[in-house]
Amino acid sequence: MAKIKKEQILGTNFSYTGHRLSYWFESMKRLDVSRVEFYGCAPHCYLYDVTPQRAFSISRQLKENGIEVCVFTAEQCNYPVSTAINDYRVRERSLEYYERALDVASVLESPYMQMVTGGGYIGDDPEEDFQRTIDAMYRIVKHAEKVGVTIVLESDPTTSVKSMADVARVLEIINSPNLEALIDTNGLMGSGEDFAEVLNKIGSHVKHMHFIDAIGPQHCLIPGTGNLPLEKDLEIMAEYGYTGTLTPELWGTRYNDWCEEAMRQSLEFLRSRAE
Amino acid sequence: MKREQFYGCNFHYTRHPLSYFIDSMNRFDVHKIEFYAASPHMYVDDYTPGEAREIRRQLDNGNLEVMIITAEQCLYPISMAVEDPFARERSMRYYERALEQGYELGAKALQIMGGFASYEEMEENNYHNRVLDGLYRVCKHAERLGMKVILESDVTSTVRDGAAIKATIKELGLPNITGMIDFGASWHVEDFEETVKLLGEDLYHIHANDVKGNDYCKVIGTGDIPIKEWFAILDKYNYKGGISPELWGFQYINCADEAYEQGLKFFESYLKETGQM
Repeated sequence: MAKIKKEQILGTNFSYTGHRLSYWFESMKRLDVSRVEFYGCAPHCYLYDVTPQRAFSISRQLKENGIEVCVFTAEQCNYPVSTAINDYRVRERSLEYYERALDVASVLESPYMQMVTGGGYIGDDPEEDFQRTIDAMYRIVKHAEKVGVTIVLESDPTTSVKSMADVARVLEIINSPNLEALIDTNGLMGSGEDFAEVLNKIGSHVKHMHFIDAIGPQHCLIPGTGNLPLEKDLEIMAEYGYTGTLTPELWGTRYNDWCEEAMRQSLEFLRSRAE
Repeated sequence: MKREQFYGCNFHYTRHPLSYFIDSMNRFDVHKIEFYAASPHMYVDDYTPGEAREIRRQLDNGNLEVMIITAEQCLYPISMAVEDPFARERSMRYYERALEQGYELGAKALQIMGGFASYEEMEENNYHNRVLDGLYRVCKHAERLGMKVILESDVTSTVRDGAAIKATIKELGLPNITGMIDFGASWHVEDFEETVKLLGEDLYHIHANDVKGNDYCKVIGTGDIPIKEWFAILDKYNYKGGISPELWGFQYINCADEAYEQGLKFFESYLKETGQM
């Protein structure tokens, strides 16, 4: 039976934000990780603290520690960013935030930048939210083209891009080589879409995955500790011939006190099922 | 205590426009509020003092009086304790802007936390001077605006409990710094009555929220804290300050009115049971 390859599995600094960056470097060495999805969040890499010189310094430190950034993901759920909201001020600042994130991704030599689009107000027309997002994507993708980074777009039911069908719609409208897709296993749970069907439909655009478990309202769990069919998803991925990357995106503070052990267990789940 | 001590709060109204919150508070006949300065209502970095004044007009027209301004500082990366001078200075300016915007809103006080630091910094225990220096700077700016600064504790922050609040106030020795108790932060950390006694006149404000297991900032009466016993303790010590249902976070954003009303009714039921309403 086909299996995913160990090189496709990335480490990450999600859940390490209670520690200094130096701790995370050492932890990645202990876990034998050299390729990562780098999380742009305080205190490691908050976009408004990262001057161009500081971005260069982080890039140098990553290299010195043998870390290659495959995807750059700026925090966008706790921090207030939205391309969809019907508030000029919030939306304009958000667009600048994404442009900054692309700049940092470029300096860190990351080929991809993850993105969720943010939500609107309760009661606003979802289609109008979506159209504001489309307008924003034209601008953000133009910047991505300029800095040589490709955006991987993720769906979330609480945002204006609620499903992978919505992602496909955005890709079709924007139609740029610098805009591709990301599957998040929790996002799929939220939209109720079938993993195999999504891969069959837009698999050629899927360059990255957030591979995490969930149980009830608890999201972003270590694979194997929730009730999502993740083993089956891995088989489907391998059968399809998925060649992109995947990250155990342990977002949030749940694992802050034992982040290395949580990452070890997550990597072990994936590595033991890869070749 | 009186019903008017129960403040309105927009902590969990962040998926609604501000106008919705104003209408809701009027429906509940609540007119004193703790204003949560966070996106999309009034994220400190998005607004100028002049624009804050315009928000004041909306609140005035909606019959709402801002008692306290609380700028988001847990979700957003704000800390006066952190070792990175760039992030720390950004945080200090954030608090100064929050004060200026709070002044325009007519707030009498700014709520503040001692800030968060990494596990390594906490272990090295070298943050204390940064916290003191930061609070001193915020208090001095507040003094110029005629405002107070209310220090809140959290076991994960650099000011862990009520005793640390009291010690910090004493060490600073400034006339406009005071303290508060957050029910959830106090639960399992300290004895509530002892903390009320210890803070004494420095108990300026209360965040009334409940805890169930690992779930914090829940509506009062839906968790494990003996809320009515704690209200009785506040009455025993003649507490006259505000009580805010701080439903911080995302758990109630899709049922904001229902959650607020449930807490308000619980408080009213306490007042009725004790013959105060």
